[in-house]
Amino acid sequence: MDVVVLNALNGILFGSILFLLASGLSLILGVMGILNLSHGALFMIGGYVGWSVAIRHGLNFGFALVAGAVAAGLVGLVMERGFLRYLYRQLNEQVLLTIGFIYILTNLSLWIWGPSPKAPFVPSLLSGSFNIMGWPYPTVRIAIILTGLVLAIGLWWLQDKTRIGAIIRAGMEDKEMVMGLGINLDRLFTAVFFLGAFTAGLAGVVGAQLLGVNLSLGWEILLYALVVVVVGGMGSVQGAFLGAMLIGFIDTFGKVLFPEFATYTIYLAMITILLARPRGLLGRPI
Amino acid sequence: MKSKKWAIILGTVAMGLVLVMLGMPLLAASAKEKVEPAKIGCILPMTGPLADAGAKAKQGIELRFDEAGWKVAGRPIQTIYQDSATNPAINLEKAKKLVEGDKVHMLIGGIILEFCIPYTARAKIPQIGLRPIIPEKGMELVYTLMPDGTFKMYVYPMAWYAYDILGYRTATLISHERKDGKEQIRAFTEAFEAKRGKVIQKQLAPIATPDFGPYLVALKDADVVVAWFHPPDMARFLRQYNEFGLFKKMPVVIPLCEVLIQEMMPGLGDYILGIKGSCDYHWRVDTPINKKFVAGMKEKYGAKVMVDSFTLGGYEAASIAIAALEATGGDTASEKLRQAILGLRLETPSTEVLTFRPDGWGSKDMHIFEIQKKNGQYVWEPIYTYRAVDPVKPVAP
Repeated sequence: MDVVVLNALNGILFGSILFLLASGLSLILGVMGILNLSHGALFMIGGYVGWSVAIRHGLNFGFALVAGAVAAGLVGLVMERGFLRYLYRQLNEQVLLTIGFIYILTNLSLWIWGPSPKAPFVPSLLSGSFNIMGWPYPTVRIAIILTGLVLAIGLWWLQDKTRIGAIIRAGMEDKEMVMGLGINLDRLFTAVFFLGAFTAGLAGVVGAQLLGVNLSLGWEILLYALVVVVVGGMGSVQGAFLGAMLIGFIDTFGKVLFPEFATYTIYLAMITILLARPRGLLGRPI
Repeated sequence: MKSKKWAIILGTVAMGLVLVMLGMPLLAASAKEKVEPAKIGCILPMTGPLADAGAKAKQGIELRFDEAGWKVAGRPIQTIYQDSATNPAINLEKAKKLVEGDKVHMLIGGIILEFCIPYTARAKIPQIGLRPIIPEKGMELVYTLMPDGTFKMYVYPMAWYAYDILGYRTATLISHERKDGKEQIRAFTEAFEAKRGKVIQKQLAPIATPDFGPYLVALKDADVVVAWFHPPDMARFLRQYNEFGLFKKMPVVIPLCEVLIQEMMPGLGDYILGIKGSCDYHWRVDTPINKKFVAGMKEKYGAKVMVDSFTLGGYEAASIAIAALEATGGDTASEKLRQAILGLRLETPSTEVLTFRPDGWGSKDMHIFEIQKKNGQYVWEPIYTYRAVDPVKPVAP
């Protein structure tokens, strides 16, 4: 029983990290129709900047969180303003460009932070553990779960309870109508892209407590994020949350129950869900 | 008068021809004085997961050639680098470019060079490997020489030490599901059970596993946990192992412990002190030749340079290239170089003597290390040595 409970917590933990990462990707894809494959690289940038602030400069972890998120947001801003805004509705070009950005950001990271991987770093406040059914369950994992929950509530509130959220939802449904109402779509898209990149950077610092940071992280984590967005449905915060939790559980219990197929369980789940529901669990109709 | 004029002209032309014929050997000699360099192609992972290893290997190569004055047996040495991007297919493409395009006489690297072995055999170009590989069924090295031998050469001593010296009788193993992870598990099991130890659990995690929680919760009680992952995952595993309080229950050993690179250790903490590992090299190996090597690295690259088994790999490969060229008198004929390498008995910073079997696999000393803190720095401190471990059939002492 304790193994089931602990693994359930591990599933929620992994789902929280995936949600932190995938929520921004889902938002960008849903509102702007841009498939930003460099989203994982933004996650990596956030992790590296957070590491620099917390470990290299020994500053407060809170600063690291903000610095990592803002850094990724600014990189995202440059990408959107300088390049992607000219490629709306051009999917092939977006894919090529954003893949190119992965290589650029990875090489920039190599120049700045060097080739050695950085070990996971945890603030001293979170270095203890809770006793759960006789097992010392790390405090940092509980903190990551709560961070994911807070972000989920924050994004849901933004999307469903604010004027800005209403504009974003309207932009997803009918861009021409939104423009006709005098709303500056250009500025909206920039704001959404910044928000998406910001959350990726935030996820990078939070995730670094478990994953550490290394040059391959951009590619490694991207696949998980894409699976979550596909399963949960594009443009839906609730969908990203549900998809992330589902993938987190399937991945964790897949490793426990079917270790020989641990690499494939999430993809099998994705195929099954898409066959039953092509738009994802809570995505908009195609 | 006219005939005299023609006689002078013909005589001048004849004298000119004679002078040219006499001068031609001199011209040829001066052309020969511009000696063709011995060209060595170096295929290193400068990007990708092993970018760190590639950068260090290059430092080792450059230092060794610096020490030799970039000349051996009267021939200048020229290195040409290519990035394998930690991809075996790209490694092969770069090997072809170096051999067919740049006409190199010898190859150093890469680290993942299995695809190159048949190619260098066909092209008849000696290739000196960096770091150990796993022999496949039917694999014949031919023109590939592997000074760092096979994976089992590193894993067997860890199993021997765990059983004979540490007194462990049961072990639970965990690694990742790719070929090298499976080989770690297979080789440790073989060596440990040959000593009558018992492996009670084997777990294989996907590569780049973000959360080892499910595996840690499933660990069965044993005398020791044997863990091996690529560098980023190794640090991740150890941190999560500690977070679940498991260091209080079971110690961890790491065969081929270069995967826990020294740069990552400060980020982990004191809970890693006492972890044992096996490898051919760490900069703390206490021999005069190694101290000279480390001092040379610090002088060339600064006091903070990190010297590890990848640096050593590059340095050793360059040492082999130099020794082979010295043995052939600078002759870069492929078979002569190959035979020269096979006949070497070389002292290097990692081993009292490096030799090669006729099949091309290298044999060297293996050390057992322990993570200790020296002058506030985490290091792999050598605590035991197994001499001249055979790469194909390691035999316990």
